[in-house]
Formats: sequence, structure tokens, C-alpha cells
Amino acid sequence: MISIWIGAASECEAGKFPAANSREANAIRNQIRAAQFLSHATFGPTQKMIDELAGRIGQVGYHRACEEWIDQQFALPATSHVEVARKIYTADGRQEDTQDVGMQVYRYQAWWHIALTSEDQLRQRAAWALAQIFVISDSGTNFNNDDRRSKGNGEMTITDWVGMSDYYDMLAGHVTGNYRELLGDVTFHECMGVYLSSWRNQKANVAAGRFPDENYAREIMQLFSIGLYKLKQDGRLEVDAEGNLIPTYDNDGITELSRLFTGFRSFHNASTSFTTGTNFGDPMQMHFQEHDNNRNYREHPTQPGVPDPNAPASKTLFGVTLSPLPVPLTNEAALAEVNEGLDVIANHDNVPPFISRLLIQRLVKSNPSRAYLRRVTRVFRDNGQGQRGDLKAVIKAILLDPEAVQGQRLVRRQNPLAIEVVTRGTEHSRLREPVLRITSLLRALRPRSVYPSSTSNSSLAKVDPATGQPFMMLSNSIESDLGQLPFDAPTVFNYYLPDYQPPGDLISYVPSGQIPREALFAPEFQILTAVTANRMINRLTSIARNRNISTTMRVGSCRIDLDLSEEIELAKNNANLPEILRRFDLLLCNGSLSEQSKTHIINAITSESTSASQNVDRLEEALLAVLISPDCAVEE
Amino acid sequence: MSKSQPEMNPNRRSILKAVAGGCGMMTQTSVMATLLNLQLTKAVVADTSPTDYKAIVCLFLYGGNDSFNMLVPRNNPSSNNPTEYDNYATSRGGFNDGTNNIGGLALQQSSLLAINNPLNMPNRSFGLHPGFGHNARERDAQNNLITNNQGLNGGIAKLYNDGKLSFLANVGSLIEPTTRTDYNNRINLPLGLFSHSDLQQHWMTAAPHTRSQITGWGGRMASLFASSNQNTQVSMNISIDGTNIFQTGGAVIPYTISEGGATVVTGFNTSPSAGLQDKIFTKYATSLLDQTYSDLLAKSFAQAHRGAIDAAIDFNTQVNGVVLNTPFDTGDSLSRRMKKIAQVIAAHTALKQNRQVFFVALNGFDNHTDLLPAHNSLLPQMSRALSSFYNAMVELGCENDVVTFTASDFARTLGTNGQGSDHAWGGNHIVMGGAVDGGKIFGDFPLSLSAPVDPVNGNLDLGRGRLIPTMSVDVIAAELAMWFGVSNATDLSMILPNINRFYSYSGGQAPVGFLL
Repeated sequence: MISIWIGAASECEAGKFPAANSREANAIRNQIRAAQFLSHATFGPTQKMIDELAGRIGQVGYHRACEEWIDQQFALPATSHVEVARKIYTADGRQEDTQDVGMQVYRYQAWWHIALTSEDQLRQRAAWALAQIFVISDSGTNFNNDDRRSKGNGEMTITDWVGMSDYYDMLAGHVTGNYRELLGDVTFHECMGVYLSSWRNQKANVAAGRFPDENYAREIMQLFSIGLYKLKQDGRLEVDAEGNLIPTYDNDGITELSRLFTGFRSFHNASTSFTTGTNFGDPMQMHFQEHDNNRNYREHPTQPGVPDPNAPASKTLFGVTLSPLPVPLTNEAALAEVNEGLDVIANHDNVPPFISRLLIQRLVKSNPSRAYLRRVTRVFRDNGQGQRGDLKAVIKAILLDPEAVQGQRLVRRQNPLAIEVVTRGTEHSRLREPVLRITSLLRALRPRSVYPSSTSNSSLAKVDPATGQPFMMLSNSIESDLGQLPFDAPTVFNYYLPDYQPPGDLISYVPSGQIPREALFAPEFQILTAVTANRMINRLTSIARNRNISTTMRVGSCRIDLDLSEEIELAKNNANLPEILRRFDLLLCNGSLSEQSKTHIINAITSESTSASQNVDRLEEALLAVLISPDCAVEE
Repeated sequence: MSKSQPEMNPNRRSILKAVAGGCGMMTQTSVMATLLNLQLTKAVVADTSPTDYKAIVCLFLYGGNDSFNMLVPRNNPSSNNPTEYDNYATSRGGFNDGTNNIGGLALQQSSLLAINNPLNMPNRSFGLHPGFGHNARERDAQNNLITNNQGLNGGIAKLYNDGKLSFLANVGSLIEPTTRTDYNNRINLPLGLFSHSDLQQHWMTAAPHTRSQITGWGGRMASLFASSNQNTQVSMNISIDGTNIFQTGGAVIPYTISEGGATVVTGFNTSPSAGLQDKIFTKYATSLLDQTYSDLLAKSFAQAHRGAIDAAIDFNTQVNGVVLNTPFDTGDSLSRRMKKIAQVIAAHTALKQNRQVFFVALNGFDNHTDLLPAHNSLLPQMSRALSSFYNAMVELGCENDVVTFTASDFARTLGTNGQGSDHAWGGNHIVMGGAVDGGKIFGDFPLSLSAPVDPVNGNLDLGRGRLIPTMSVDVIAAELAMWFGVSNATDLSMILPNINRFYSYSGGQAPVGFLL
């Protein structure tokens, strides 16, 4: 049976937060708003962050407080993944050029340490969003080697495995930069070159039947800029007179563009060879001899080596003809042509709606409305100072948009005084990414890292010199529980597709007119399978019931202890269960845990256990119940 | 494993046997009736769905198996190519004599298992690695495993001589038929040649021209048969070695299991003797997942979790209760995992699956050093596992409905690096099953390994004995797909985007002919 749902039907009363007086009611309201904002802008709010931002909201109002917070965050120095990896392997007594199996594990260890502890949370969270758009992956490449080599003039390249961290730092840097510059640095990064085979891509040799590789040409359009179909600025798909979608490019367009991305080779100070070495630490450089010079592509049908007079003199992109190339070609001219082509792509009308939607999906919600997209794409096109593609302004517009917090309405109730959270439901929600479910719960529950976990002597701990605190890390092994791991997307299409729909009611749901498409999407469901579902619950069970998580590092283990001592004390008396659940709700669910769910949890606990001495068991189950609850996993 | 798992039915096998007129005809309602109501009500009625049963099993040898030491040229007096073995020995750097030539990789001629000449190449003789005569070990009174090497009368050697197993020669991932000149001109070569991760992925996707392929040929093939799977929770693609792109298709993702079966939710325990925390957990998990959510994402989330909890318990009920009389080696993980696959196959009717694709892996083949001792451990494991598995299929009456094949990143250089061998390309593989045209070697096994040439395209050696494959993964996949039931050129091209460069589907002759 197919049931049809309409938009407003899913509005639902969620949690109730009682308040002793009006001041407290305001404080609670501000805390919930702060938690909701921070769950978009960080790897998970902490009580301290919530309190600070809520306090400021009380002083200057929501919008101004959050804007200030964003500005402060963007002003913080970027934490470097390369540098943090270096600190960790140095603490382990290794060097970058240590030839050792598994050195690339430090790349992941650094990622978790930064997500869990870095101050520049917004930059890192936005970089994580960009990393899921401009995807490279160590799955299916040679990015894990422990080799490095000379790049001439006595200098060495970075070690191959460091390359992906360098790429990630590049993305993090552009969080406060410009889309066009980002697109350029992505295009010329040798990790991308190797991943999508533009590295050492040769111009055509028609006589030998060889043509340029089309991989990068295809994906830069489909995934990094414009997508498959023409879009309006509010995210709706354009249609022609017959109602058909309008493709943004055809295969000839790919073939043409593939000629542009030719002649890229590894940077080297001295060598002039097209095929010298590998260098993931410097942008690829141009080797004009292998760049398509507009004359090699179509040789004269009967006179080998002679250009076909009918062949076009210049490359054409979306109807724009690029500048002709000089004879003889130079590296400068070839490079200028690539940049001219990137300008054309970056200026395509599809870029603002296509990229804005992907960023909103990663940061805020799965199905932004037309109005939301219209507001954000306006900023994308012009940041107010005539500049297009200002990512800092775009991210700010996304996070500060009124729709970003519309998923929850906060209602003040009297007699007794309380703040009630009303969730708006389906069109406003999003399934949290598995990685973010884990980072938020660890960050929220007062984590303390013990590393190496084998030593109880804290003077032997391996610490981050920046904070004096031990490195706080998880291992790759968690991937099989999450179905997701940074740097390890299965393909360039990321962990999930932006238009994925899970089986079930969502498919037959008819969205309201606010939604730009005729269906709703929920990408993160693509990695919620019959297997990861159970494994995730088991992982959460292990964390809650141990009140820690301990995983194997390159050397030794790292244990992250959660401090639940206050709640454990409270749990001695079952009458405190509502208070405990409200605390977890604020930290982990932004206030969206419904009264009905709370009742289920309280009933399950109190029907089995009342003794004060079972308080730890009860507390662990209260936490676990919140962690596995649909109210918490689905963010409003 | 969950404490809540219902009691096994010790007589399940007798139920299976009683109604089994063949693997595909088991339709015992008593077993089906034990399925949870949830799944029965959710089951989709198939429009077109095969009624017979078929399964393929992919055994992936991770790391790149040195398969020219698995299947070795062997002279005998009647051979027309008396130098084949000598050329092999030369190509491998001679023998490790323990003193002057410790890097030699050649196997002694006398140590090879002298299998029958291939029925399709009666004038050439081959030997198998001595590990391929091993059968499952049993334990003595002290619980020690007793080696069970039967030579030609055991393991893979016997399966070959009995006509239940064949080899495929010089196989690898290709975009199109490729010559040495093509290689020199870098024309249409698989991406990332000789790298593990790329070549593993290429085997699985059959799309070596791209890193953007999000599905594998096992997954795309399964998608065509989605309607044959009436189990809404458990995929027809079942992996006992983690998720993999091979089994991932448009609508299909692998259901991953382990030696113990499906991963159940550990805290979910309905038994009265459950611990306090499990009792609490089971109560709130049930009520939280069963309550009605107006937010459809929350509703979908709850349903997915509820379904997964029930599916794992149900899967283990159906599968772990299957009793097999065929001995499997209890000391090898591979044998234990293949036994689990055999149990799943036995339970396919209860699982409501008419087509299944399995994935199992054996690690440890990246032998840059110590190749010979590594093979002496790994190949007996393969032999024990595959022979037990085949025998179990006979026990179940499924031997003609299940084909097992090996895959690997690549083969290794024939030349030695002084300790082992390095990454190469074309290599040899195994296909096994009652449907296999056994006792043969399909494809072109080079006449001389010290100067390997292809009769048409000439030199196959890229240096150090890195062979350009002369049989593409695509044709093996195509033959398996056609046996599975793919019956038109469009579907075949959907599964294998490059197949037309190797084989033209006409409904007649199969691309290789290794399946009867």
C-alpha cells in the first residue's frame, strides 16, 4: 500500500525542558539554539561551547552571536593534517621518511585527533564537507606508499602517504577562500591527478589510435562543478519545451574538455622528463610537449603529421571558445589555457546551485528549500563586494540562514513554565553521518584520552604539543561499523549520492512546493545497511557500557574515557532519569528527543531496576538508548 | 553470537535431504514457515524469477598470487615440448639450493603433482604445486591436526583429474586485447597497472579504464536477478570477507557475515536469563524502533534497524542450524568460512534466494619475500577448503548448481627479486564445480615461460616475466553471467561495459567454454 504524506503532517512535539523562572527559560531556549547551530558547524557541541554561545545569544541575540562565533572561528589558524600527523609519528619515534608498513595510518590518526580536539572546528567541519565533494580516496590508488624521492636541487618530495593529508590541508585552506581557486588547486594537486588519471595525460596521437584520458574531464563537470542537468538558482531542474531535462554537456563536451587536461606531470626542480617520479607535495606542472596544441587532435586524413585544415583551431567549452594557442606552444600558454578553461567552468550558471546544495546537505539538512537555495546562491554569485565564489561568505550564509534552525520550533509553555521543542519533521531533517554520530558523542561526553593506553603513568603519555593533552584518536577498524571513513570513500562518488532515497515511505512522499525537486532525498541512508545497522548499535553499546572506546594505533592503543560521573551519581535515584535524559538530549540530539521516547526509555529502565547500586548499569543504558534512538540519529 | 538465538534444529539437514531431489527443488514449507512474519509480509512478489537455483563463489586471493608456481609446465616422455619445464625453471631463476642461489623460485620437477594432461591439450603436461593434494585434516587424541596429504588422490589435484575443476591461463584485467606495442604506446591500459588496490578493483568492477566505477560485475549481475531474491533484508550477494565493490550493484549491496554467521545486535536478548542491561536494552530498543514516527527519515531509520536486528537472528537460525557431514578443516579459517558458505547455500530456500553470489578471501599472497614457504602454507589451505566445499555441495546435491572461481590482484614476476617475486599482471586461475568442463586448461598458457609469446601478437613479456594477459577478466565474468541466466547482449554489456571488445554475444557459443 502506498501512503501519501503531505508536508506539515510530520510536525511533532519533541522534548520539554521545565524551567524554574523566566530567566532560566530563556537560558534553556538559548542553549537549545546554540546546540543546534553547533551541531552544524562543528564535529559536535560540548557543554562548554553550548554555554558560551548560549550566553552570547542571551546578550546580543541569535544571529549576531552566531555570526561573531563564525568570524572568530574563521580567524583561527588552520590546523594542518600534515603537521599533526608529523607530531604523532614523531611521538612514536618515527620520521616522515621512515620506511615502514602502515605509515599511512598516521593520516587517519591525525584526522580523528583534529576532529575531536582542534579549536578550528568550523574550518575542519567545512573541510570535511569539501572532502566529500572533491573526493579522492586511498581506495584504488597508490597513496599509501612509504616512498619519497628527489625532486632536484637537493630537495626531497613529501612521502607519498602524506599526499592525501596535504590535499586535505589544501581543502581546509580554501574554506575561507574562493571556489575558483579551490577548483584550480584541486585540478593541479597530484593526488587528484593520479586519482582521476589526468597526471601524465598525453595529447592525442591519432595515428596510433590514442586519445586523451577523459576521467578528469567528466568528473570535474559531473561532481566538482555543474552536475548533469541544468539547474535554476533555486535548485529546480530546468526543462525544455517538451518537459525534458537539459543535459549540461554531452560526450563530445567531455572529449573536448579531455584535451584541456593534458600535459600534467610531476613537479621537479631539474628534470624535464614527462615521466619523472611522483610528487604529491607540489602542484603538477605543465609539460607543453604533451599538451593538446589544437593541431594534433585531428591529423590530415591522408597526410600523417599534417593538421586537418577542417579541425577547429581552439577548444570550445559550453559554447565559449578558448584563446588560440601559439606556435610553438609554451608551458605558460598551455597553463593559461587550462586556467581559462577552469574560469569557464567556474562561471557556469549551474555552479552556485550545484555546489551550494551539496554544502547544505553536508552541513545542515538533506533537502534545502528553494528559498534557502536562492538566498545562498545569491551570495555564491556575489558576496556583496562583487566577488563570485567566496566560500567563507557562502558557508556563513548556509549556517546563518533562518531555515538552518527551522527544523525545531521552540515554544514557551506556562503552568508549569517550560520550553517545548516542536520538530517540523521530514522536509527539515537529516540522518546524521555515522562519522559525525561518533565524533559528537565523544566530544560531548567530556572525553579524556589515555595514550598509549598501556601506561598509567601520565608523564609517559604522548601529547599534542599544542595543548599538552594526549593525542585523541580512533583507528581505521571503525570503518566496518560505520560504513564510512575519512580518506576512504569507495569511489569519487563519495560514500553516498546526493539524490539517494532509502526504500520505504520517503519514495512515495510528495514534497511541498518549497522543495525544488519532486522528491526528497536522504543520502546518508545509502550506508545504513542491514550489516552496518547492527554493527553501529554494537559499537555504541560497547562505548556506552565501557564508558570508553579503545582502538589500536600504529603503535599501541589509544583509549578515550568518557566522564559520566555526574550522571552516574544522579542515576542512583530513578526519579532523576528525566533530568539525565534532558542532559543527553541537549548534548546529543539538540533537544529533539521526544517525550514519548523518553517515556519508553524510562519505562524500560525502571521496570527492570530500582536498586541504587545498579546506577551505573542504568546510566549506561540511558545513554545507549539515546544514542540508538531515531530521534537522536535523525537531526532536525 | 546472540544469547537470544533460538535453539538450532539438529534435524534440519534431514529435512533438507528428505525433500531434495536436487539443489534447486527444495521447497520445504516447514522451514519457510519459521521465517519471521515481518519478512513474509514485506516480501515482494517477483514478476519473472528463475525457479532453479544457482550460485557463484568468488575466492579472492589478496596480494597477487604467484600462480605460475601453482600451475607449472611439466615435461614427460610423451610431451612434444620437452623443454617447457626447463624454460619455467630458468624463468624463475632456478632452484633455491640453500647456498649459491637462495633466490631461486622454481619448484623441483619431482615435487610437482603429475596431473593428467589437459583433455584439451593432450600433448602438453602440467604439474600442480604439491600443496594441492591436501585434504581436510582431522585431529588426533591430543587435538593436534594431522596433515592429510593425499597427493594426486586428494585436494585440488583429484578434483582436476576427476573432471570437476579446470584452470584458466594467463588471465588479467584488460580494457581491450593488448599487445606489447600498445603497452609501449600507453594505449588503453588499465589504470594504475601493477598496484594492488587498482588491480583488485579492476577484477571486481571489470571497468579498468576508470576509478569512478561504483559497482562491481557481481553486483550488476545480481541486480538483474533482484526479483529472484524475496528476502527483503538479506542481500543475495553475501560476503564472508567484508564489503567489496565486486558484489555491489545498483540495487544490491553485500550482506556481510563471518564464520559465526550474521552479526546480531549483542544487547538484543529476549531470553529470560539475559543480563540486566540486555533486558533493559531489549525493552527500549523494541519500543523505540517500533513506535510510530511522523518524520519519515526517523521512520525509515527505525525500520532499517528493526529489520536488521530481526534479519540477523533469522539468518543465523536458518543457516547455523544446517548440519553438514562433509569434514571441513577446523584449523583453517578459509575452510571454516567456506563451510559457512556451504551452510548458507543449504539454507537458500529458507532464505528465499534462488540466486546467490558469494565472496570469500584468502590473504597473504603479496610475497615479495619468502614466496616458497608462503605458498607451502597457503596452497594447502586452498586445497583443503575447495575440496571440502565441493564435497559438501555433493552432499547437498548442489554440485552442479554452484561454481567457484579464484580471482587475484595480478600474478607475479616470473623473475626473482632474490627473495620472492614482484607485482606483475597475467596469471592462472581455478574454476570448480559440477558444471565446469573439468580436467582442462583454458586459454593460452605460454609454450615457453622464459620467452613468453602469444602466437598472434608476439612478445608477452613486459620485462622480468611480467606477462600481458591473453584472457580478460571480462570473458570469465561473461561466461559466469550467462550460466547464471543472463541471456541477451544488452544485459551482458550492462554488466561488462567492455565485453564487446572481447566477445560478441549471439546466444550461442560461450566466450571461453569452461562451463558445460
